[in-house]
Amino acid sequence: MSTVFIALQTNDDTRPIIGAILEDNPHARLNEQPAMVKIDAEGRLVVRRSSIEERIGRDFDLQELHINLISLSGNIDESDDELTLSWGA
Amino acid sequence: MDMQVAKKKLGLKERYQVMTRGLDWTPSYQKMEDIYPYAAYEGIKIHDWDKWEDPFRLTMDAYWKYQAEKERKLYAIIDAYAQNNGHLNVTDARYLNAVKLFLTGISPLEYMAHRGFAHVGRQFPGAGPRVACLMQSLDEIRHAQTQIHSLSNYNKYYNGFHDFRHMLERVWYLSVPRSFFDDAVTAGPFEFMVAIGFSFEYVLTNLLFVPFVSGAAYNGDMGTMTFGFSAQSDEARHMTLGLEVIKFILEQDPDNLPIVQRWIDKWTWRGYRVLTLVGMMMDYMLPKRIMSWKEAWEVYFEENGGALFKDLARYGIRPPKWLDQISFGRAYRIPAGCLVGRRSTRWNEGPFSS
Repeated sequence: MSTVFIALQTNDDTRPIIGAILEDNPHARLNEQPAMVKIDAEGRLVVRRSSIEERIGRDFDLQELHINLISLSGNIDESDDELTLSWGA
Repeated sequence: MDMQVAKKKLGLKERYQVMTRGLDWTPSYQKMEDIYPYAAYEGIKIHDWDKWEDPFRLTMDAYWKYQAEKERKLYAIIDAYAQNNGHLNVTDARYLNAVKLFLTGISPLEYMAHRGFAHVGRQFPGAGPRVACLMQSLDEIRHAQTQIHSLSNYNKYYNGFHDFRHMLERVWYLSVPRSFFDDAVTAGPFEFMVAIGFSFEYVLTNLLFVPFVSGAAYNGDMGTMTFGFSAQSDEARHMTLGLEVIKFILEQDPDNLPIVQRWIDKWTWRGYRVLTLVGMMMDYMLPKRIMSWKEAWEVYFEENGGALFKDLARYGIRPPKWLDQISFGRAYRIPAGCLVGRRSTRWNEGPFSS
């Protein structure tokens, strides 16, 4: 199974997002580097709007991710509720 | 009287459909091939342009909103860095040589990418990729501008930052990045997309913007850190465009496969040659290191690129040629192709062809 990843800047905006991703994807690994975090996961990673909203206590538009997003890998599918990264093979 | 019910907002998928489709028109008195003269000559066959979809489903209104927010963050940091004499806080003066290499070797390429995407955005007959190319063209000029702007602060205090554009055409090792993009923008629109959108953006750009920029942060260079991550946040979208375009081309017609494979072989090799500059910066120019070029290569090329090519195998795509030579180069610390003599500066050929 191949690994997908998402990398985010380390700041106050991303802390709850990172927490939500790690909670929703128990198989994901957190990899902290200077000024950034990289989250690796086997096969598939899901970012859920509802989990982020629960943590920040306000409405969140998943496209807000673009502001602090550094990079990612995998095939992407985005809807109003979820952003999914996955490798088919 | 009936109650007024607030109209439900369109979902992301519908909004994308409404705002990126039906924008073009069918010409009545001009031929399509006269309007899009470059669409066919490379041999790529496209039957239905509407099959192409941006997985982020970003529309122009959202694009401006988020880009404005990125710019606000970026300039807040750049201002703070300049106002606090941040240039005195980099780990060591030697570090600035890496930044000079970036400004002469990379920033002018951002500008070339802006021109290239403006061109192919005009030349593709499909509205979906045209919108994505327009956004990428704007991103690339933003990158060139924010890089020049961030680094202009160093130009007030140190030598060697003043004439980067002039250098690009005269310094011999810069002939590698210069020739890379000169050849990409003079290729046809599909080859440009495979060269830049896929081979460069998807397969190689993480190596440029992620470990080196994290290293810049580690060395106290907030200017480079902030423009680097700000640029790379657009790269996430560019990589997605590159991957989607490849999948789209391959799904459209089986005849496209050998043409695309040849371009992947060629442009991965040439991109690797450009990135030897970054290898040089990471291995020899960061006073405090976060990871070696070899480690970065393993994470971002071998692991990530390996997953990518495994995924694309279902279309018949195989990993790019000359991977063995690339692995040899990175294992034996030949980070700068530019350092090992004339032969390796023949960037447009296979490694050991004469």
